[in-house]
Amino acid sequence: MRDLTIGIYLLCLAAALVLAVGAHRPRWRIGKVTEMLDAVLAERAPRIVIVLFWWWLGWHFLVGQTVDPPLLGG
Amino acid sequence: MVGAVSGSGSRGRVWLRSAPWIFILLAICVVQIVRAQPLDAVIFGVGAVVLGLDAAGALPAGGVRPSIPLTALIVVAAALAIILVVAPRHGVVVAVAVGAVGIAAVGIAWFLPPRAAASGGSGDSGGSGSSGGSGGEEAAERRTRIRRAAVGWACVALVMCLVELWSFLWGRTTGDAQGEHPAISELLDPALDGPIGRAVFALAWLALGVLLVTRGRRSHDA
Repeated sequence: MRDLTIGIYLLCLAAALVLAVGAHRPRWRIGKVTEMLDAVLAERAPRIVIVLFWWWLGWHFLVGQTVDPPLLGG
Repeated sequence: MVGAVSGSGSRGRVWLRSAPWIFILLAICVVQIVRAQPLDAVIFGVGAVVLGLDAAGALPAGGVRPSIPLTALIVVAAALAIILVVAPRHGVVVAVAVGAVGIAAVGIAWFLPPRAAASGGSGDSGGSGSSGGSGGEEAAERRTRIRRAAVGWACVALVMCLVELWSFLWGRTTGDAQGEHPAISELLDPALDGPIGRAVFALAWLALGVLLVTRGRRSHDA
C-alpha cells in the first residue's frame, strides 16, 4: 500500500510536468502556468486562498508540526 | 470590487464566484481541527470569514497595489532563503521570518494586481475587449487554452489532495498504518532536516511565492 500511495504522488508530479511541458506545444492547446495564474489570480478570493495555502505550506514544513503522531500506539 | 459591483445581481455573482474558495478554506480549517492544530485552523477559519465578509461587500474595496520591482522581490527572497536554511528548523527565527512573509504576501494579495502591459493580452476572462474578427478568435482560443490548463491543474491538485487526505486519515490510526499510508509531510520531513533538502524546499517555496504575488492581471475583481 505504501508503494501505491507514493506511486500516486509521483504520478501527480508527472502529470504536472506534462501540463507544464505541454503548454509549450501549440498543438496541445494548453495554456501556460503564468497565463492561467494571470486569469485565476485576477479575482481576490482565489488570490487570497492560493497565497494563504502557499504560505501555510512553508509554515507547515519549516515552523509548525510537520508530522502528526498516530492517535493509537503500534 | 472596484466600482463595477452594483445591485444585488452583481453581488450574487460575486458570492457565487467566491463561494467555492471560501468552501476550500473551511475544508482546510476542518482538517486542521482534526490535526489538533488550533493556530492553523484559526488562520484558515479567519481567512474564510474575511472572504465571506468581502463577498458580502462588508469590507473596504482596497485599491490597486503599487507594482513591486521583481529584482527587489528576488533580493528579499534570497535573503529569506539564507535565513530559512541557516536558522534551526521549527525555531523562533524561522517562525518570525515565515510569519513576516505570510503577513506581507497576504497583504499584497489583498490589493488588485496592476493592469497588464498594453500588449499581449489583457482581458483574460469575460472582459469587454471583444473586438471581433481575428482578435476575437484569438481571445476565444486563449480562453480555451487557459480553461484547459485550469482543468488539468485542478485535476492534479484534487487527486493529490484526496490521496493526501486519505493517507492522513488512515495514517493517524496507528504507527503501522502511518507507514502504509504516508502523507506527503511524512515523506518530505526527513529531507527537510538536512541543509540541502531545506535549501531546495526554501528556494522552491519562495520562487512560487514570488510568482504568485507578481501574477494576476486585473480584468475584474471580487
